[in-house]
Amino acid sequence: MSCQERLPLRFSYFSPYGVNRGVKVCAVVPFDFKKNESNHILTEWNVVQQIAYFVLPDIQNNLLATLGVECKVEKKRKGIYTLYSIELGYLLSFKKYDGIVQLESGNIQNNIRLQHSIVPEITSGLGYNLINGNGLFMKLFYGRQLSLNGSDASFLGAEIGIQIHIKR
Amino acid sequence: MNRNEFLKSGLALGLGLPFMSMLMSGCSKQSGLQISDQDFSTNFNGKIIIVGAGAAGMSAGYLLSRYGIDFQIIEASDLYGGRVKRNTDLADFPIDTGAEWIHDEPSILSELLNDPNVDGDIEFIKYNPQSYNRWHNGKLKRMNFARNFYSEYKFKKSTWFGFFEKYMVPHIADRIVLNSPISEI
Repeated sequence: MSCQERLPLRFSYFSPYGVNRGVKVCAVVPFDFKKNESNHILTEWNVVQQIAYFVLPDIQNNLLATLGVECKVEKKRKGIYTLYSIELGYLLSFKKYDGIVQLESGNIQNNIRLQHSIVPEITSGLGYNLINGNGLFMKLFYGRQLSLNGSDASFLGAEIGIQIHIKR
Repeated sequence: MNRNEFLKSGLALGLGLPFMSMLMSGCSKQSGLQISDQDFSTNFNGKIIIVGAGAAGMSAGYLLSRYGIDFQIIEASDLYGGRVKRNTDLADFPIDTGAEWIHDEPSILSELLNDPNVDGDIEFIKYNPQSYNRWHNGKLKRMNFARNFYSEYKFKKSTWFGFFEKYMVPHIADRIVLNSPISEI
């Protein structure tokens, strides 16, 4: 079965700012590749579609959907590959903005405000094929959180995960 | 009573409760530290002198009053509060000019009072200490680097001073002696 007949999927632990925690699922759709026979380098171009959920406990919950283009460069038979991508995402944050504490019980009622943001980002990472293209990878990302109804901020962090292939 | 006896009695009477609840806040963030009156029964029948009507002094006096222990708070200045201060002239809402942050979960306010019969709610806001606005070249610049790392809390329509004034001072006001600096022990 060739790579074209199998869809790579990535599942990762995702940590914006280092203190947020979340998970990300990524579908990788290859659309072009080039082989350089002289130095055995395979360059693969992919469309990456991702959806992520991450939280900063007691502060905010977030949903992130991104679409991007990825360049995967792999030296044949080495197993290690590098990843570079440019992505654009939509971030929906459920931020605990203010609230009320009941003094008799200590119970807290939080008011939640939605924040919508556009997140352009670049990523760079490394991967390692263990068997049949399935393996491990890690990535660093940096971008800007351009908020539509709040303040802008940097958006940076890391993710580490596994890549598997499923039949199309 | 020597120093060691005082510390032992103080701990037995719950003088360390405000600080204990702060330390335990990670274990009980959403629920108050519920301790019944039976947990603080004591045979102590002396009188306790508290030096300073700041946050710690008032909290200690409040607890002693709840458990029926005789005490007196001696304060050097003409107002209780210590470094907990409030300004009501600058704006149409009170402003903390001393302690202003709630570094713990807001439920710490309930734990400080530890009274299931208290009637009241406190409004708070989350606040990102890293966020600030700057007026530069005729434009408002919002700097929010790493604002998502963590948040803390502030009172929304009240202040730390207001909290003590409303919920603790009524229980201890007649035991506070103002304008009494300690000159000798």
